[in-house]
Amino acid sequence: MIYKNLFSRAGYQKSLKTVDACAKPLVLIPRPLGRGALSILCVLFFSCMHIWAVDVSVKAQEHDKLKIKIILVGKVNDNVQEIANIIQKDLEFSSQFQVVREESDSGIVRKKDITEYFDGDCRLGVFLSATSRNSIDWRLYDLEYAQMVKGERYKIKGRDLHGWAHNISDAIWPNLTGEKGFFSTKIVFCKKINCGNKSDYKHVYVADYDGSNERLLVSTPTINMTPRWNNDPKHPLIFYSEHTNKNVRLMVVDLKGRRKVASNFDGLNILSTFSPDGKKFAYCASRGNGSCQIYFFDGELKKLTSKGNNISPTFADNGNTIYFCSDANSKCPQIYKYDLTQRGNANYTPERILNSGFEVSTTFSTVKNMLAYSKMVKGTMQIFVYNPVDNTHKQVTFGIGNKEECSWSPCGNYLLFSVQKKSKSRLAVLNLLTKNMSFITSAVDSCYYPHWSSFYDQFPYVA
Amino acid sequence: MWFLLWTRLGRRVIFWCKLFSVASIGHVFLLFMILFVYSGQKSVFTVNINRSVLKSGAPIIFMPRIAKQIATQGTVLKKKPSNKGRSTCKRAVMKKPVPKKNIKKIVKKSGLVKKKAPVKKLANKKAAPKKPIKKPVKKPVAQRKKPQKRPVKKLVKKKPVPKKPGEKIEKKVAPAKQEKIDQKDEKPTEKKMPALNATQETQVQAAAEAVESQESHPEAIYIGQQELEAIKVQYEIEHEVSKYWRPPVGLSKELSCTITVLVDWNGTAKKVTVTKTSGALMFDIAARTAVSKLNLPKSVCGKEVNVNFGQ
Repeated sequence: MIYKNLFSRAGYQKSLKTVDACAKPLVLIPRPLGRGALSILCVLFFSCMHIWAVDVSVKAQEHDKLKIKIILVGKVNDNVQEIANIIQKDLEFSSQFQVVREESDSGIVRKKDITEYFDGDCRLGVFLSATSRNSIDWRLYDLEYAQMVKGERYKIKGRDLHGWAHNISDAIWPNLTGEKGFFSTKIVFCKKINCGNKSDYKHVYVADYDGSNERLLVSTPTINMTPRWNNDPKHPLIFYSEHTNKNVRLMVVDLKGRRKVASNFDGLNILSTFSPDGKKFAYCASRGNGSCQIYFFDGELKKLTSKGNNISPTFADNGNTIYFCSDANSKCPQIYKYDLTQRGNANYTPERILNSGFEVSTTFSTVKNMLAYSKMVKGTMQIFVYNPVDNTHKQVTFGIGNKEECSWSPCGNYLLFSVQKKSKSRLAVLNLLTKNMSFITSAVDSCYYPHWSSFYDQFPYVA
Repeated sequence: MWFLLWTRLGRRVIFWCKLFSVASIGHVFLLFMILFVYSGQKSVFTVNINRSVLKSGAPIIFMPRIAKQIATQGTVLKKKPSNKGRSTCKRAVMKKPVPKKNIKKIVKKSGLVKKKAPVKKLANKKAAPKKPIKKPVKKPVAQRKKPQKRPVKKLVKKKPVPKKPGEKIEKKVAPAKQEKIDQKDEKPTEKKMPALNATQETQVQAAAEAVESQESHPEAIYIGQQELEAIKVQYEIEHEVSKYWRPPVGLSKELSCTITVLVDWNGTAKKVTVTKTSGALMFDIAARTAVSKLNLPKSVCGKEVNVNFGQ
């Protein structure tokens, strides 16, 4: 009776009366009065406390950067300083963090030392310390409670500090965001080299995801183009096309610069692409008959198309679908979808996705399940994104300059492409979360055909 | 020492000691409840409201106090006059929708119009419905109206409204809409009702609308005062939290975390506990940062607030 009334919706007044009214019967209970009543009252009290909880649900209207501190502990050598710089750049590249740098001369021994770095806004801290000349410690801390989230000790081998720093960023990233870090991934592109009176060459370069730490990979005296990463997580390779006197052949090169011929048919051998598991392969070849067709390889080389010029193949749906551009049924190239499960069907014709405009350089993201492509808008090439689920197309770039040869980041949050203005071409990254575009190569260089690698187990040092 | 004393005491003394101790514990408990738990507004949060119901698209009817009392009167007229305060607004309105002209008379008579009765003021706490009413039972008009005729007459006769010299006498008191509904109930006594001033008119109309809308929207959601207060506080907290809730961009839209905040007497977070983590540290940290900046309303001081943060 008492308890029921206390929990009733009648409010305090009623419950008070009820308890008073029932005081007499309580007294008449002979034995378990002391402890029993006390325990009942305790239960009642805590139950009532629970009643007071208010449930509120809130959704974000705005976004802001999260503050994080990078704290260098103890004696700081150049290596630690450089690694800290790179980690800071990595975290800031995402537009999700605002990094604050601090240094501590004395070592951190007690919890109190850690909580001293906590202020109202900044609750996360990465402590970096050089335990010896060739080793580095990093620890991610919740500064408010002085609680370590994760930490590791690295032994630095070799000179590529960039690699180590990106590795640390990759290790920190999943703890912060719950997603896989992409900072160790690399980009490949071709850079125009001026050779005086001769025709300009294009060399193949490999760089970090943000365009830094640029390394020359192929420097043959010819025009190299359309480099593409394979998707084998253990053995990163780059397929590219090089001009010869007879044809444009498809070459393959590893990160140590060792080259081999992959396809050497007459005419064009270009634009190779790999399925997400890296086991299927497709590329374009003309084989000397004037029109470029798509060839598919999964242990056996087969021709997929026969009409018109077909270029820019890209795998989707775990390698069961290929999107490509074709001018078979129109004067300008348009996007088509080829279902590979229908390959044996002689009557099968690829499905046209768009039947208006000039569309080229398709690339598919398996993470976001979206297709990016370039389309001509008022005489300028702009990047569009196509969602096959709801069949919608969305323009993501605007302004002057032709944006072409787009490539998805492995996380699916960024698009890498070249922006051509007059005779110069620069590489740019578009953050699809913030819609901010930033150039990653200098205005002096002319860079073309960028391609972002997928996740690899370990990236070897580019010689 | 205590044990020794205990054994030497007589049974009667022990009994009185126990009685005294239980009574004192009870009083301490009650005092504690009064001081710390019930110190805010009266039992606002004992009502659990599923606000998603409010977004269902069904019309929401706030039960005005005036409507409640009129409706109560309506039932009283038929049944026991002693049950005035206890009879629920919801029940009364649902079962016995009072004809509009009768409402006016009762309002005038009972002097309720003098009080400030805004439209949103709601019904008795106890009477307020917890859940939306799907289909209130409708009774045929003829059955409902018959028993109400007498008491109305009596009321009017017993306490006739004194005519003031400047007052105009209106023949048609109710608006045209109401007249249509209550054509059968019209009586000569009603025609003699004095004209109502502007505030009285609005109050009466609000009351009438509440009753009318109940008839026109069988699936309407009725909200009492207690529920309304709880919703108000929820909105206040939501508004306050959303001012500071700014997670970083690019996180999955499915992420959500729940944080329990113990609010101190200044309205700030005293103790913050992540009861359900999102799996992404930065999301939880952003939520904690938002919570630490809050300045919550006084009604939740000393209480716990569960905040569910979403993208």
